[in-house]
Amino acid sequence: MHKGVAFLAVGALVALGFVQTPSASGPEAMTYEVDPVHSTLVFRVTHLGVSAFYGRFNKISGSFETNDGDTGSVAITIDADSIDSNNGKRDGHLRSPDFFSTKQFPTIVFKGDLVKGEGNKYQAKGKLTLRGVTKDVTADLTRIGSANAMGGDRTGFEGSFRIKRSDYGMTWRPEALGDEVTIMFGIEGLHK
Amino acid sequence: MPIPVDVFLEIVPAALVSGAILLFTWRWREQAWRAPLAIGAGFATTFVYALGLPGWMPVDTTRLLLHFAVAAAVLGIVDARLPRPLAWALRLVFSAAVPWLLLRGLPEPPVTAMVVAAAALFVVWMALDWRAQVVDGWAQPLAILITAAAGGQALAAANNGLLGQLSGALAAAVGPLLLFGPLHGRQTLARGGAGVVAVIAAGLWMTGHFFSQNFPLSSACLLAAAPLAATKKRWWAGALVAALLAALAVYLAMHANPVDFGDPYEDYYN
Repeated sequence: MHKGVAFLAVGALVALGFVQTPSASGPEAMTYEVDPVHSTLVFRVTHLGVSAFYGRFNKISGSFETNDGDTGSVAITIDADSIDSNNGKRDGHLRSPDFFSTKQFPTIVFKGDLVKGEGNKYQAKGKLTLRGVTKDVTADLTRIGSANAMGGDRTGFEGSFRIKRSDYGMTWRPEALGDEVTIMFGIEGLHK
Repeated sequence: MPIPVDVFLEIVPAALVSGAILLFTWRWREQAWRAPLAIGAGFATTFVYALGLPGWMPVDTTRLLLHFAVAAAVLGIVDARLPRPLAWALRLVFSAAVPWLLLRGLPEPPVTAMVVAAAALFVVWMALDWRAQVVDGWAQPLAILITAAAGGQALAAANNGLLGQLSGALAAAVGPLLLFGPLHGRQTLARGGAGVVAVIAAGLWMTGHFFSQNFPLSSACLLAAAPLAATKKRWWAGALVAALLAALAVYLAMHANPVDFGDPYEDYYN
């Protein structure tokens, strides 16, 4: 008799939504579309071995998916033609086959997985396709925060990773520009 | 974009290798295969020195210029031994293959441009070869050297340091023919040498126009026509016409890529 009452009570609570039942697929996935207005991608390279120079790409698109658990995925596309080094002549050179060869390779693509670390730390492990060459990269990320504002749920990460430009066929004048390039970014996503 | 000194120095091996080949094959100076071998090997030397060895089918089509140079040199070496119809047929195949291999790398390959470029390359190749049979000695190498050197500057003006350097390598590889020309009046680029020059130059001008920023078609056409100006009797007149056409090509490339050197934000030296 007591068992029957308890069963009915639990059944009623579940039906009313007071008790959360674990779903078969785990925590609900949240897909975010990159907000290009509030996302930034900057690169750093040394010049002549005497200074650090920073440039940026102005057009970023893509999406990422975060679970409440430990995993997710990322797919980011950068318009290579949107490179901006604060010098029109140099931008033209950076778009040429000496560097990004943007007429042949108009986009830079990163696709990978999000892996949660300690606290708000994450890693994005995946493949970067640049100038027709695809290589594994790992970016260290920090989740800045989440909010419901400006049209929906938003969340954002910042992070960085390093590549060697020669690995991607950019071998022009290694004595003038350093081989190692650091890419730093801040990505804000709007829940779809 | 001015050509930096170190970039210029990487061009020198092309001249050294080309000159060494012409020197060590002097006993076969009547043979047509010497010029394509020297030019092809010289160009390839600077290419590999500056860029390293590319893969078999490089994703970056700029790297295909080495493949074109080697293949054209091989064809040039055997050209004089082939029956003329077969040699012409192979030139036709090459002329079609070069634009196709280059331009298929673009996201939307321009089919019409491929056909026009193939036809243009074949016509220039045949015309250059025909002129080489008329103009022996060093008048034609001089016109080619002027054109390739100016082409390097035009490409550099259009933000193409690498292509400019490779155009300089072509000039450097042709240069030793000027030195050996006076010693060997019947030196010729016919049946071999003209093909290597035509294929390398076509690869450079096409890559410059289709893959880089603002290398004008007019510059490419002028540079394609300039070596044809070489004449037998008045070598200086041919050289002058080639220089004028090449200079116009440089001017047009610079005009398409203006730099305000008074503006510190435009004062770009790489």
